[in-house]
Amino acid sequence: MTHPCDLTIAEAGEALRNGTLSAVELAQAHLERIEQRNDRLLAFIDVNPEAVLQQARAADARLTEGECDDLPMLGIPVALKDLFDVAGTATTCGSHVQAGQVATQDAVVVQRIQSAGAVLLGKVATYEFALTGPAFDQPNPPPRNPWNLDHITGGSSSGSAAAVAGGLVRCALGTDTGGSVRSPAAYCGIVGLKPTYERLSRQGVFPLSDSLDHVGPLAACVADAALCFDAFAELADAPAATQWLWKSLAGLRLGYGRDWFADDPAVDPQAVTAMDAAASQLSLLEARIEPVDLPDYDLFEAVGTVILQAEALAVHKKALGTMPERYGRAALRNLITGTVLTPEHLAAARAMQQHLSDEMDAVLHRVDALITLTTLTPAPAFAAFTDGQPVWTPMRTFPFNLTGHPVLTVPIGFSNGLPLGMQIIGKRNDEARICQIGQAFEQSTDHSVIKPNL
Amino acid sequence: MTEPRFPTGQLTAETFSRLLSGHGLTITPDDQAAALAASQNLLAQAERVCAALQAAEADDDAPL
Repeated sequence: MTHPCDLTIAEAGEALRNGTLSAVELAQAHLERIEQRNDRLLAFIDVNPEAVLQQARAADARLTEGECDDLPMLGIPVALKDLFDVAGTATTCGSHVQAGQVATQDAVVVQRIQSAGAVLLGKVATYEFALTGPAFDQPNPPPRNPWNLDHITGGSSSGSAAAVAGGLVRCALGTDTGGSVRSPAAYCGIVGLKPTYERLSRQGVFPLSDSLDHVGPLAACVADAALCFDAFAELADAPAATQWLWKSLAGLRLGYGRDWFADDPAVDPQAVTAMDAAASQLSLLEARIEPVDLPDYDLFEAVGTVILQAEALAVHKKALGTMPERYGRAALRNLITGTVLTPEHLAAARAMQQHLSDEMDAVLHRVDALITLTTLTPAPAFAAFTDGQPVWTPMRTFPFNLTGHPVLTVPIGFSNGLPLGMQIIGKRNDEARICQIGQAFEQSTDHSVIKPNL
Repeated sequence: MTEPRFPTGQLTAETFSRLLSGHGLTITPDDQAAALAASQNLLAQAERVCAALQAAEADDDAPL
């Protein structure tokens, strides 16, 4: 019999609705998992078991009343990156700067979680202010990669990735400003969905860069990610993300952005092999794979970096001026680089952001979706970070924070026992299509079936 | 705008220090030194963005 924590959200929901499992039993199973594994993974930083069980009891009451037909998340545990405001609890943002900052209101997404009847298990770790990491001078130590505890999870949604990959929760919400949902999802062998810009509300979520910040779920499988997205998203004139799950890919045209990584000196050869194999697998599923020329990747990265650093400095300038000693060294050193930028630089970057978005729209106009690697290597070891200097972790995620297109990352295999991921990029508000493609791929391979040995 | 623009390669440690002060930031010499290379890289990226925009605008203005 499958352990309750390992049921998909749909399976757990069915068990809750037919009475073979209660929300309290499901919550208790997750609390026990956290108790058993969190000491090694360091994913959760704040869990209040009594508050969890109180929510679960409320969910059971709603289930008993039959209030469940339109609430697929009713009684399902979820976790939140510690950037989201939950009234009455501290939003630490992984920083000593935020000590004692107790939220007075729930973030909009938290309101959505409550309306959906999901059970908030607790807060999970983040790199400091979603900026840079891993670092050891912050309130919480960095989470560990469940596939190899000596390796990083990636970030900044580090706790979200470790919690899901470690089997502590099926879905955790994170934020993605340059890849912070997708890269840790890829590094930890799980699914990450960066939706279309502003489809999940950012209100009540501590900002890094308003123009680039996205809220998104990290989940154990594509269907789980799609269900969470549908339950918590803002309304849009678009099909639900779950609408085309289990549908055939026959006839879909997928543009393969191979030039973005194949000849990069930093790419792991096994990642190229895995990505080519993933494209072949999609072809076997009757999708038509077409090489595409994508706009210059390096220019995307330059534009994104200018916008991010300018906007992040604006967010932090006051606190940097009054309490610089409370920042972790890596975060402070990153933030102050923004002082070299001028308003003209930022204006040019915003103009180029529009230009590049238009170019990407034109590429996506010719196909149903794009595919490319998520990260060029598997997760580096913690040992690479010991001298305090930033370590370059090459990825191909940043462009879609600039353009706002939805992106799903799914596992595509391993290099030296560490997971790799593929991005599936859709047209705006086309979460349904990328989830359809991702799930068909997932169901046709065993990459998502293999779990870390914990 | 209060800060002058610095062509790539002219962001010295002294200039960076003045920029930080101009923003009202008191940053230790160690942190300034550690951030200098990244700041130079960021400035180079910003200049590249400006050049790309000029090229894009020139393309848009070119006769068909």
